[in-house]
Amino acid sequence: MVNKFWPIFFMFWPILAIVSFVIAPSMNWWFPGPAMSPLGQQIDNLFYLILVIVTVTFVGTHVALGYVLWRGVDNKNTKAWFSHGSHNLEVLWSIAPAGILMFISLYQLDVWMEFRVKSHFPEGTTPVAEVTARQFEWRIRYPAPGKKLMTTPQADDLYTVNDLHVPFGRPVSIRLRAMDVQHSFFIPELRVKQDAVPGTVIPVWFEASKPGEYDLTCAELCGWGHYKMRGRVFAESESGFDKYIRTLQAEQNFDGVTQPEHSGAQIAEYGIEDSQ
Amino acid sequence: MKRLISIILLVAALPLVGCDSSRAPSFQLSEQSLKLSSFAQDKVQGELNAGFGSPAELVVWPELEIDYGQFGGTIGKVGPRPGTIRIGQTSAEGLESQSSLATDGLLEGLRGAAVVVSKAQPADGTTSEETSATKDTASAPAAYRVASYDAASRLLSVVDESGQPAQLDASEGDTVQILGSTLQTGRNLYLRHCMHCHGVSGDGAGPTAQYFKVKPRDYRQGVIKFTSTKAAVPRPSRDDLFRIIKLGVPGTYMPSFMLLPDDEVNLIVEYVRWLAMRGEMERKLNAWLSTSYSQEAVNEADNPSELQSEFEAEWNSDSSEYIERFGSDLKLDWQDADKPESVVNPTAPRTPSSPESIARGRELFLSKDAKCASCHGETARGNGPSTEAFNDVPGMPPGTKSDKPGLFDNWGNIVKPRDLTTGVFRGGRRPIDIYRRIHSGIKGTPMQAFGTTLKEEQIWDVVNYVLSIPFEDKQSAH
Repeated sequence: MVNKFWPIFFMFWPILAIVSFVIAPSMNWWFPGPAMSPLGQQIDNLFYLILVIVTVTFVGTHVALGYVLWRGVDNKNTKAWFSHGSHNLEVLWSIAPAGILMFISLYQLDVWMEFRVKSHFPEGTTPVAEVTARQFEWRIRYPAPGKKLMTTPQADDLYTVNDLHVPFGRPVSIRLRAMDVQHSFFIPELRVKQDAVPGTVIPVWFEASKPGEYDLTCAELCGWGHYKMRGRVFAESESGFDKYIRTLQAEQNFDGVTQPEHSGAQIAEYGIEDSQ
Repeated sequence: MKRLISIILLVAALPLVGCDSSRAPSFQLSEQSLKLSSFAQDKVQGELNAGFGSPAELVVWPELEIDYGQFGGTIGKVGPRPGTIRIGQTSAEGLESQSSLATDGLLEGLRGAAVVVSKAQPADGTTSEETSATKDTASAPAAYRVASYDAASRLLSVVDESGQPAQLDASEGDTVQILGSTLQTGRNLYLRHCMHCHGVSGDGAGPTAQYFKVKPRDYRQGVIKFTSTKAAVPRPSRDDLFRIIKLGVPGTYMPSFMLLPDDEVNLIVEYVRWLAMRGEMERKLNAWLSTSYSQEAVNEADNPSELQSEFEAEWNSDSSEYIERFGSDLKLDWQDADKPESVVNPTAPRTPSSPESIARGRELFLSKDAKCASCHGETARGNGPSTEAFNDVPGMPPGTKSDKPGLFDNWGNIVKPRDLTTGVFRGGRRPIDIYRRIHSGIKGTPMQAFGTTLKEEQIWDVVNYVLSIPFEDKQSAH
């Protein structure tokens, strides 16, 4: 039995890995909920495709390894067989993985282009806001109601922080900037992640398929306060989004006379009820 | 090789040892207090301990304009061990809503909060102020303190002054109140979110502060730069502090805490006000004692022990009167800040932004009356002639010029007048925010209040001009 220690030791780890993958979804170690965007669904599908390929390879090679170890332990009589290698075998194990990699790279191209390449963004993608990441918050600039988002700040632009409101059900884009160091704009539930780089404006598009509140986090270690760089994305109906922008406009033009003053608390609560 | 192995072992052992967790947060004396003679320092420290306590053991001083907060409920069961109570029903602002904080072992939860047990039919006059751990704790009845509270089992352990399990005179149905809950949870939140920049005592010198070019606010003067209050009202309102925490201060390292729930922000606001009052109390004591009883005075005195007995005599005869007056000054100042009439609210609505209004505003900006350009510069880039001049130093006798050119704030930092072309407005970008900046100035800085020199319409013209500066034709501005 002592002889079988190493085969058992080497088989224990791959089996543990497989078991943890199998129980992960039920233990909530898996994705942060189902993908809440159409592209996110495709990204998940790509992930699962690669997971299947990797699992088949992993299980196959480890079963072979386990078999060899298990059989070899008791084999005291036969001498090891020395080989200079097999040309055919080497060709096979080079071409097969190369083929698989080639398949993956071609297969994911559509999703990649749609996500990253501006000319392949879905038709009708509208820029809704400019999001500027800085240590340690997200500063957001919207165009005034009925206006288009311009590349430079306009006198009637509307500003807020950490709360990004977007309409749901259609593709929208943001202009992503960074003011100080690198940050990363990450909405886990929408499967959107894009680094923000100082000196560059990067367009990022996404589409929330359902109204709701989604986490916005920074996914690039950007300094001591990285952990507190959190925001929220509210996906709302068109009318809810419109109402939010108009409330923001009223708040920003507040002169102490013409309408009641909003407290800081009310600003934070804008539009939340509409997103439900 | 042996050395390498021992290094690896040491590194591997680090997680077991961990960091030194015995370093409990404590309040430090200010730089001014440290200049006092040791006997005066002792008295200042003693007075601060009596009125405010330490971060681990906060003291309720009812004189202050602070909502210390209380929560509690009825006793479900006494026991099982001596000094323990199982809480049955909790009051509206019950323990449940604060349970995550109450059980936070890292931050000690509610340990040290004063506990008051009242009999089932309490006299109507039993208010928190009479029974709490007041300034003179010794005379307060039944000053029990929380040893621990377990939110799941609702088991409250109570100790007496000496730290022994309290011999509770309580039975089922009596009410139990834990005092200072607002301040306790405010402290926990402050230590978690704010302390690393603003410091344990609110001195703006937390561990992270050294890396910042724009220093975190030192609250100990009770002065906050961006307020909605009038120039004559020296303190910020609760809503001002709330807004700053929620929205952050753009252009500085103060981030937005938009995602903190409102009630948590309110608790932090209360704790920050309390820290500011503590700092002010220390400054007031210093102002009284520093002229005669500084360390310098002791060094120069012919007979230091005579000076000390002189000090003891003065302290014994006058201190209670002074401290009472300081306390009531604090109360009045902070009460004022929250009065509706203290808020700057124009009576005339904003003049619509037109080229004419902007031109009038620009004229005022450059004029002798408003003198905006002397600091902010003719092109509003924050480079006016005053920034190159040798100016008065705040806190020094008038006429004391600095040895460095520049404008100084009350905290001794050189401040640059805002570059208005960037479109970043630290105190907010709403017209009313800019109006208030001009009307009551920026407290603690050379930015003056123009509420008396300029008329409302004139201020609105300047507001319109200031808001238009970032969008000026860049060519013509040079």
